[in-house]
Amino acid sequence: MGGRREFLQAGLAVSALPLVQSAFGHSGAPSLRESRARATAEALVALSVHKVIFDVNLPESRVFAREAAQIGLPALPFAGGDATDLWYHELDPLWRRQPLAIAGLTRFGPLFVLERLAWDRGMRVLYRAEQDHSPDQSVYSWVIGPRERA
Amino acid sequence: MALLPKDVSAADFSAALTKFETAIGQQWVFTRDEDVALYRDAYSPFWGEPDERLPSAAVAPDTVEQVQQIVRIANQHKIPLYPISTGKNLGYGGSAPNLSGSVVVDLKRMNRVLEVDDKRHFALVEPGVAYFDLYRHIQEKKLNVWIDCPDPGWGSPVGNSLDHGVGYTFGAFRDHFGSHCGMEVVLPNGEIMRTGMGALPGAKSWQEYRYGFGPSVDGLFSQGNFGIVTKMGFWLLPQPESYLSGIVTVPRRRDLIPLVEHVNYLEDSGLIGQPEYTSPLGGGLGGPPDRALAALLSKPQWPTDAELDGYAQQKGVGVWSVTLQFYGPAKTVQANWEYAKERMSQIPGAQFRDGERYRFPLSPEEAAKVPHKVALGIPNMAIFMIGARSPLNPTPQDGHLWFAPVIPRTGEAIFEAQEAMSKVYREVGVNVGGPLQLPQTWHPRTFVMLVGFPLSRSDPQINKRSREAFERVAQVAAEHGWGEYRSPPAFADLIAGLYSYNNHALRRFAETLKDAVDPNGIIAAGRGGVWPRHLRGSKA
Repeated sequence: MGGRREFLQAGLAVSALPLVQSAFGHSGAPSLRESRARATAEALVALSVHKVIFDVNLPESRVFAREAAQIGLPALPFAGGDATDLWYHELDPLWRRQPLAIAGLTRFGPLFVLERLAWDRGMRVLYRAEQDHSPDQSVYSWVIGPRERA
Repeated sequence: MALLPKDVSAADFSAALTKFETAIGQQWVFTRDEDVALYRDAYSPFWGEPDERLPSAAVAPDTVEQVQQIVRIANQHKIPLYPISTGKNLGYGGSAPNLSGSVVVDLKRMNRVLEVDDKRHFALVEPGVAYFDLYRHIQEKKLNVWIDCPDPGWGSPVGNSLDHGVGYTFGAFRDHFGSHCGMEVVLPNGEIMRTGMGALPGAKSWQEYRYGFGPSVDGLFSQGNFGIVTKMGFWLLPQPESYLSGIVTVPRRRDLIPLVEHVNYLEDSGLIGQPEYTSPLGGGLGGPPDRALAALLSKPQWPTDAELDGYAQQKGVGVWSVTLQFYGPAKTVQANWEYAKERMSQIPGAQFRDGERYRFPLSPEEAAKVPHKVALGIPNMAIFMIGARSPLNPTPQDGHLWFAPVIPRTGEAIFEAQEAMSKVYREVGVNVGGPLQLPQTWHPRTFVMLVGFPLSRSDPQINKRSREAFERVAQVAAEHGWGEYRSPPAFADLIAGLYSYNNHALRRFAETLKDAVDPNGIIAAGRGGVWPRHLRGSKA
């Protein structure tokens, strides 16, 4: 399983770059950007990610949602870093029905909360990487999925 | 497998794990590092240091019978267990055990809401039921009751109440252990016991009459280690017709004394829910920076009352405010607010302002807009946003260590507590407001002068300083007759040691019981400062 995890981590680590860069206008050459977008898609598909979560207040997170939409993944918005509605109305009902993987690009706080709540439903963080690119906030890309996939 | 329980061989531990797997299923026995790491205390004051309390493994049973099997296996192999409901009490230990090497018994899968009665106003739940789960159950079935939940609301009624957790509505409900009624417990020998009326086979009032007959033993299982609670009943607040809040502001610092007396009267008469005290001056307690006030408060000697009163007058605000919360029929809450205004007008210069007003039930859209949701029994996690990095908070801490001393419910006691403990806070650079610090009012009959010492995952010096400050201020508090109501495992022995009346008679009594009920010392060794005989003295 280690090889699979390494592959996914590599794929997502690469994929986070174009998301961040495009959010700040450094999206690179079109061919490079396309290849990175493909890496995003491959990684998310490999993990059978069901949905992505994005913070409407984070530009890079909004880009993440748009790119996810391009590969057919629905994006769930949430505002202000409070994960209450996301948990109560979306993820808890979802995970009670089915243990499906989700990906996100959020601040630390929501990830911290979701990791612990997810564990109560048998889910765990399969991947996380800090994208510390702004002086006043740390942003993380992450995937939460069924524990047996870790 | 890096960690073994104390005095347990690798062979015995391995044999126990195999039996656990047979009993509850391999997938529910967690031994991989990345799984066990989830049971670390995310706010550990010893993060990454040798003294951090760490579990060796975790098991997640689904039924009472599985809990019994786990306990029996643990007895066979002398495996220390540490039960948690959802393990969310951050700042007080989270899911980490008092004794490193313990196997966490994670009761999250036992998450069934067994009964909610909205005519007799009670619930019976399993320990893995979170406040969110109980709230959802009530909402979906449109039941005519409220829960009282802590903030954040991601924990469980069973776990929170067993740790003496608290909430935000009426006093009878926000003391969560005080509002419990009836327990089912798996004892250290694997037997099942029911308390109160539950001891009567076929009892019809297990969740309504707490005492049953004979000695009441429920308290042994709160902050205790005499069994694993597998069911628990709670009294619920009938959904009120309406809610009204009113804000009272008084102009002078010494006005806090009569203000508290009036509020005590209103609360103890059943007219209001939780009162919430604030200072319109802010005092650096989360409000926008006020340089002039900061300069006043940072003087080597605190500002005099006259100086603070003058500053408040100059700013056109009062020194103290209290928000009163009224629940009940619309006519009644309005009448109670009018009565409160009339009564508190005895304080010269007191001013009154209407606050929020709701009629129930709220629509989901209305509920989403309520600013202080827990006051209406709506669980949420917005509190985690407070510590987020922002222009006002450029270097957020990684966690906090709650210091929670109980003081008398008077203005004089608040002033004395401010004075007595401020020196320690100043030395460690924790701003609690100095002469403007106010207590938490969760407990219906006392105040808690809560302080959160900062913790870091990257700077052990911050943690060391916070631990030292905690130990010193706990000592200072005890010298004044103030004791903590709750504590992280790392400080349980310290706090229990301060409750030392008559040569520690209370602890010695608990130890005598522990030796009789749990001779192998397998349940939550060290919880509440009570250790089994073989670990007493050596501790962890």
